[in-house]
Amino acid sequence: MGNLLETQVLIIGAGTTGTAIARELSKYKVDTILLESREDIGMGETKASHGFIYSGGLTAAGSLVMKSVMLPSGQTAFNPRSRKTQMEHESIKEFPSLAKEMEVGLSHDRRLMLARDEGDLKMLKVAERICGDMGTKITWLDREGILEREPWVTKDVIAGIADEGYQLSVYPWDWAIALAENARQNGLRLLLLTEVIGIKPLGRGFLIYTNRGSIRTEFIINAAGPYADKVAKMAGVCDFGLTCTRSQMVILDKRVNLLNQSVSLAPKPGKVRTLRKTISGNIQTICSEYYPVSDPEDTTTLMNWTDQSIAGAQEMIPSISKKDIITSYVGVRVFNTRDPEEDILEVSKGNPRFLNAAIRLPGVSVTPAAARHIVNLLGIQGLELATKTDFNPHRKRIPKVSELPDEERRKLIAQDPRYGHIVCRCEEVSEGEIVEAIRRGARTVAGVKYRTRAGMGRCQRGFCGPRVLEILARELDIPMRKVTQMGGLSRVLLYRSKDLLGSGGLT
Amino acid sequence: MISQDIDVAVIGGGPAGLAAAIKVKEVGLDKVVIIERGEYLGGLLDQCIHNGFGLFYFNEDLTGPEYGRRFIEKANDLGVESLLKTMVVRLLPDRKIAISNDKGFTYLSPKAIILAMGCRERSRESLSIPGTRPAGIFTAGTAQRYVNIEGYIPGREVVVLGSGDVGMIMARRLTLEGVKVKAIVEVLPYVGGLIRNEVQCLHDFDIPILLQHTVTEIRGQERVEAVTIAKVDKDWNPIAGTERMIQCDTLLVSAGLIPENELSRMAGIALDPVTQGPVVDENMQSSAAGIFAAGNVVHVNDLVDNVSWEGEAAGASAAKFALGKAMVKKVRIRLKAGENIRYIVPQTIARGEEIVLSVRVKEPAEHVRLNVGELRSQGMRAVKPSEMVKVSLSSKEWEKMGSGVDELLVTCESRRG
Amino acid sequence: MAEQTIICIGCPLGCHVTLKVDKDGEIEALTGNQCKEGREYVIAEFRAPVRVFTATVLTEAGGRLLAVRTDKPVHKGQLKELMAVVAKLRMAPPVKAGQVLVPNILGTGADLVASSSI
Repeated sequence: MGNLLETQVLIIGAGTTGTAIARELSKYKVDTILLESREDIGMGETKASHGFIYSGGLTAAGSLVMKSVMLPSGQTAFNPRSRKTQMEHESIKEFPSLAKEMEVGLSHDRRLMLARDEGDLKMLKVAERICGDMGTKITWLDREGILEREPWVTKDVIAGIADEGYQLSVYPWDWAIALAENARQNGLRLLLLTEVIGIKPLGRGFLIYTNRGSIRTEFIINAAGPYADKVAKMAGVCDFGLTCTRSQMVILDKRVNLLNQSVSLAPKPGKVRTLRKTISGNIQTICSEYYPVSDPEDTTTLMNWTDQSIAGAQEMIPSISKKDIITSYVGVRVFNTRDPEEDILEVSKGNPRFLNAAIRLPGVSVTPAAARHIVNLLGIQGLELATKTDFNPHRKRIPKVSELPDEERRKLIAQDPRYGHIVCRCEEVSEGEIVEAIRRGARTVAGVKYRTRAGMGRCQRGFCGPRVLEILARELDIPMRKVTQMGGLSRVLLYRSKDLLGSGGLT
Repeated sequence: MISQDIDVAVIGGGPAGLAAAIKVKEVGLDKVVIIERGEYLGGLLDQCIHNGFGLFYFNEDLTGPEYGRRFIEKANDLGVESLLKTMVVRLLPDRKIAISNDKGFTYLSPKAIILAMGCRERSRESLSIPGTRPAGIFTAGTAQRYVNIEGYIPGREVVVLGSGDVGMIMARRLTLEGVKVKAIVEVLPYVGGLIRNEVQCLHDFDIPILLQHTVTEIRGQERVEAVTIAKVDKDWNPIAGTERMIQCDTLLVSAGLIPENELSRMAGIALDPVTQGPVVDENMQSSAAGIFAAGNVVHVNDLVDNVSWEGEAAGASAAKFALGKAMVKKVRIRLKAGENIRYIVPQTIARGEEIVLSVRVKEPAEHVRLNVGELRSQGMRAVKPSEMVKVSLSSKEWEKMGSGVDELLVTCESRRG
Repeated sequence: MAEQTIICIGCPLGCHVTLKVDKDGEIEALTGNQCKEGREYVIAEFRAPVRVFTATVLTEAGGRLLAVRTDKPVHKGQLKELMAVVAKLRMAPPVKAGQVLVPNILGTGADLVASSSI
């Protein structure tokens, strides 16, 4: 990067929010830069976020308690008429076509909420009222009906309610990566490993200081996730605070075929218990407690959270066992202290050219409407929005050989033999896919993992690890020892053989 | 590409697959193909640069590569074909397999199949070790590949979780490469692998062994910076207050091997929940006709010599099957694990068949008798879970068996007096 | 007179055998073994503890490593010294498995031979 870049709009943060706004803006003849401090897109909250896309009462009802669990203590706000809820309603209809345009995996899910006792039943009736209020259609199921849909659910279950068509699922990092690729196809400039260290308001815009140089911009969109308050402070316009909570998810082996779609237990104060079938076919548990955390980088897993996750899962599906775990991870969720019910999607009060886009969970869910809203605001603030006639909404995904019909697979291998060489055995990922991921911007083991799924399987990089490292080194033309797990100081291999044996031999 | 009229397809070109393929050729079959996902034959042998291989099979003390070469050269001499960098991605009913490599995606229909896919290692993630997820965590076998094949040393201060043979071998190897191995952390009250390795890998190099301990936390944001270890009780639960931190930049996890049976599952082959490998009979045939199995895919072996013998048994049987020779229907006897027995392979045998059983005990014990029903009682000075025991049954012993019995209880009992 | 414990590796018993050694380094007494093979092993291990040495050697920059071994066991005290020598070796292909790389390495009486080929 040179000494000074110029742009019209600078988006800070390449998570699901920043990338959605970037893609929306790329429909207009507006010079845009998307800035990200980390090595890759979506490596902050996004990569550990759930990717639930929902609207409707049942989810609102479920999230009623979820929120009481997740919010800073004492806050249990729930407003079915909030702008956020409206945006969820508006946005959900758009996802199927967006997913198709950008070739991102999307699954249709449905929430099935279970009752095991009278207390649970009461909660389900509350949920039913909320759904009625919001116009969400639900179905009551008796035990037989539940077991027909989910034969492995606990026989203790006495009743359940389900909504249809109010929940979809994506992998948030998949989504963010696709949005960014599409936006770049349409002219977006992406700057990774670039951290904002100072913001100086100018007459009509700002001068941004980063670790790699300065940028002059007319507008700033603050989509910096858990650091949005820090960024706003840099510009002297912070009028909100942020709090974070964290919780642990556990992923079970794909082979554990005990769930067809999502199930939840009826909400109980302080407890979230949901089991979900991911797009790739793994069962994911969302059953651990939520804990406030001051450091948004703190993603350490805990033994008792792992136990809670399994115990909670077993309350719904008794045959699940700790032995089925293939990995665990922690996700951080950010809320604003000004109004935990709403997102902060607005022109800041302090500076008409500084816009905040601090979206709490569900994040991906609202991004289509939220992105449009932000672009609208930009227009109101004086940015000229001339529509591009050559905007290309179509982004092609990296071919996934394991999902191709045989003939297509053969054709692809004939064109590029690397698609025939399987590198990740557990997820059936070919060398061709890994090379393409690197071509599209993956520079680390994590970058390859999130774009191809190589390393996400049951052996957790036992087989493909060395091979992915080799391919990264080869394609990036760097020594194997420079390859990192996730950027920064996370080099995988520290020394060459014999490096530690000085001329004096062993210590 | 490869011709379609294959007699026997061997999935996996490690020691089991090589021995099996060689046997098939020796029996006289022509079209034997080894399908190997890696870049070379020999499986893990090439990265096992230490000695101790072939003590029984060849009566020589060979290194892994030397042992492997004997079989690879023989296989080449006999004209065994091999497809390298080729993955079997589907195993379908009726012995149809789908393979993928840089030449394309093809279906093959061999007359018989031998499963020789070996094992994978238990990962840190599957053990649910709490903490951060930094760079610097490796399973011992993957680290071995980096050290001995690619030529990289993962870090300079290492803690090894697990005292199985791979962990101990790597502790020695790394020490010789100038690494400080700070401790071997073992949850059991005894070392998991061979005594020979305990002495020659750990004692010889003064590597501290922490028995009845486990790693309770990994620390370090981008790279491992330390691990927390704690003493455990008899149920493997960490004892509060015993935690202490060991500074290190690398954690090697050597906490067990799991037979790699995804293809077997795909084909609906019956698996033994204890071995986690296919249930096999004395012919090493699985529950699917014409699909045989040998080596670590059936059960985790200690000695490669045994893996080669199993491979030969599977090869001989697969060849017979491919030649259309009917497997004589005999009375089936189930082998049942009794006192202090973890498992027996094969799990079922034909009555009257001369056979060598591979047996693993659950707990170490001294001065025991290993009993196979009423047929055989073998006195042993000491047994350990990490050292497989061979028990043979001859036709004379079978004569002792009553009629109408379809099960043999295998036990390991203390000798009286 | 000194005492030394040697663990027998002959069978899973792993007997801890205690040796009483006199001032001339001769074994005066030996207890703890449960068989005569164990006794023989411990005596041999006491007099001359030997190990086969195995390692890898670097080839030209970035090339595949060469696995090496001593063709005979050497005194266990010399392993680190041997490693220091091996650390400085650089081999260029072709090398055939079994090829002698350093005859009578460090005067041990054992040859350093290639255990793999490059």
